[in-house]
Amino acid sequence: MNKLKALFKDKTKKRLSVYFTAGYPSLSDTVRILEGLQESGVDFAEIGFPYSDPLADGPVIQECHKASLRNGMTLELLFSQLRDARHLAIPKVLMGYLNPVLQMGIEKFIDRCRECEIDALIIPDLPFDFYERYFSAPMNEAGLLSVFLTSPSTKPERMEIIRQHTTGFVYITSDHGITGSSVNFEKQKKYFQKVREFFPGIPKFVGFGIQTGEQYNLACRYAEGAIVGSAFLKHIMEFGTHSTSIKKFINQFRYDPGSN
Amino acid sequence: MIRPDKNGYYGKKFGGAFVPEMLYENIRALNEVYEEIISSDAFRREYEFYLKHFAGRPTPLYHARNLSDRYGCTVFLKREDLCHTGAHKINNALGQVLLAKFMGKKKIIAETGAGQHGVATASACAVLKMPCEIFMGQKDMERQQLNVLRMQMLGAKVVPSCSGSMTLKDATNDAIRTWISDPENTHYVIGSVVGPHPYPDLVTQFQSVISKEIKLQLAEMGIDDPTHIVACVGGGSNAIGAFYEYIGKPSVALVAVEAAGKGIRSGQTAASLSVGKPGILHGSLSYLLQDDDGQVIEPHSVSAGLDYPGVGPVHSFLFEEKRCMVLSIEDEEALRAAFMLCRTEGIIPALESAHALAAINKMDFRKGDLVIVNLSGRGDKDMHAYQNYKHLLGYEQTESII
Ligand SMILES: Cc1ncc(COP(=O)(O)O)c(C=O)c1O
Repeated sequence: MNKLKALFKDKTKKRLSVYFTAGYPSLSDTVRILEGLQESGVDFAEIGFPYSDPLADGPVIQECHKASLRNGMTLELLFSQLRDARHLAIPKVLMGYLNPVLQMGIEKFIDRCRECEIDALIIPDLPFDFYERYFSAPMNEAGLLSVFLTSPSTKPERMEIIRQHTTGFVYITSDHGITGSSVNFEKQKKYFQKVREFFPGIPKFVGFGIQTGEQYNLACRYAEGAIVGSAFLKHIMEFGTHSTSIKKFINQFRYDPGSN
Repeated sequence: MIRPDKNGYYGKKFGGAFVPEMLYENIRALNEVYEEIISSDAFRREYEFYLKHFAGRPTPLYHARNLSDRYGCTVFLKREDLCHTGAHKINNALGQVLLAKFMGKKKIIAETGAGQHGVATASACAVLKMPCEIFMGQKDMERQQLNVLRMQMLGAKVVPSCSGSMTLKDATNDAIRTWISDPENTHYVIGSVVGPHPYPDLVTQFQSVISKEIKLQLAEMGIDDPTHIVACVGGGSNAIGAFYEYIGKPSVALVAVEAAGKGIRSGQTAASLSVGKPGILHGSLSYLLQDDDGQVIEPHSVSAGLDYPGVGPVHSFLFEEKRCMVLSIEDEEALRAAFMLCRTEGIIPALESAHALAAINKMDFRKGDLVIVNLSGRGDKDMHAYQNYKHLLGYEQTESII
């Protein structure tokens, strides 16, 4: 069974997910980071594959994409690393822009995902018409879940389309912005509430702008959990990717219902 | 004429809107209103006023007699170089800034490479009283200091782009990122027929004034249709503007001229149609310079305005349909053509436009042919490049007048 689906079965716990860019800081860090995340009790990992023009990303993730490409990361190489990470039980979500996928070929890409036991896909610049035409059927067949984003500007009609197509979870981007900007919960309260009400049966995760344990706790009020990206990458820039460094970072994000 | 389908595709394949959700509403809102606004009488009145009295339109369709003698056919130059701010870019900038006003926007952002679109947008914003921020790659700012100063004099804030390779494509990324963070108040004025739908169509509509004038001007001279229209292609806005009215007329050959840079096989080129593959950049699917892994390759051209790794989706469509002919011109060929035009017709062209001129060297004409070259801009901004190359091209020993 899909590991992410299995995880979502237990609805009693709040979840934590971490995003990192594969190939950063060094080409061979992918498996090591996955191990560190698993050991630290992270519920699922989002593995970013790099693109030269990451439109929805802020300076931190841009820098990681650039460094990863400079290091020589490619989709083929990433899949060969992920093949060696199949023993790790942590659910794995692949995230990246559409163009590298198109150049590899959609079928081949989805095949590789299946081989590497990837659980879900996030492609932020994939439009729904394109998804329906080329991705939806082969993804279903490969047991890959789909994840779509909402933003504060997403209208109800659009949310309806997102609801129809989501088989994994809804990714609630926290602000009118790109990754790495800090979330303002007071300002976004209404939006988070609206999303919570709109997707009752579907898992929801808040991403973009979660930098502190406090923000994580607040996010968990509205969703099944949250995703930390830029803050994690900044941490490993400074403190490295060994497991004690990762643990130390992750320990800030323990859900505490009493703190709200 | 040519229009995309409702999802922004030309021929069901090129174009579209490949944007992250954060940008979806910006695009949708623009898409919902632009056609109605730009075809309204109120808009047309204002736009035509500024085109005529501010930009200086119509631009002449100049019978270049000396060039005609040289090539043994009739050559006309469409003089976009005589537009205010020095290039066709003002047609689009005025249209979009005016559109932003009609939409109730409070602020304009734009990207620029060499600075031509930035200067045009800054001028339009000054006259239409809109605050304006222009994103420009850090490297381009160093290369084009005079245009930075022009934009600043016109009241624009020039924001250096330090992301990626610090050139035009990164300035475009940063402009889009900034637009994401303030979709309600800001309008993003893109500089060519690229970007997510509806931009390629929007910019095409504003630039189509070029071929609308050509048609009228030929009619006034009692001439029916040209046999050839030749234009350079960066993103493709001056080219589609010059082609627009003639796309449905197969008797008119449309020639799109790309920058080959140091040669299309040199790895230092900007010839997206000649050596690229379809891919996604800045929200649309079109021919793109990219490696086998789908990473965008930094282009090269001596002409900053053609130094873009992609091309408008409409040109990918016309290319695959074989409705246009695509030629590519190397840096040195363009430079030679620029010097040639100076001596032959007394016009110093922009380096971009010089690519279109160089292309006619490579074509065979018959006596009765009528060739229109779209002279997209003037050469003031390129004096530095011309100065650097005159030795190479043997133009050094010019007799002094004094
Ligand atoms: C004079 C001139 N011609 C052509 C171009 C290329 O743009 P496009 O292909 O959109 O006309 C530029 C761009 O800066 C320009 O300044």
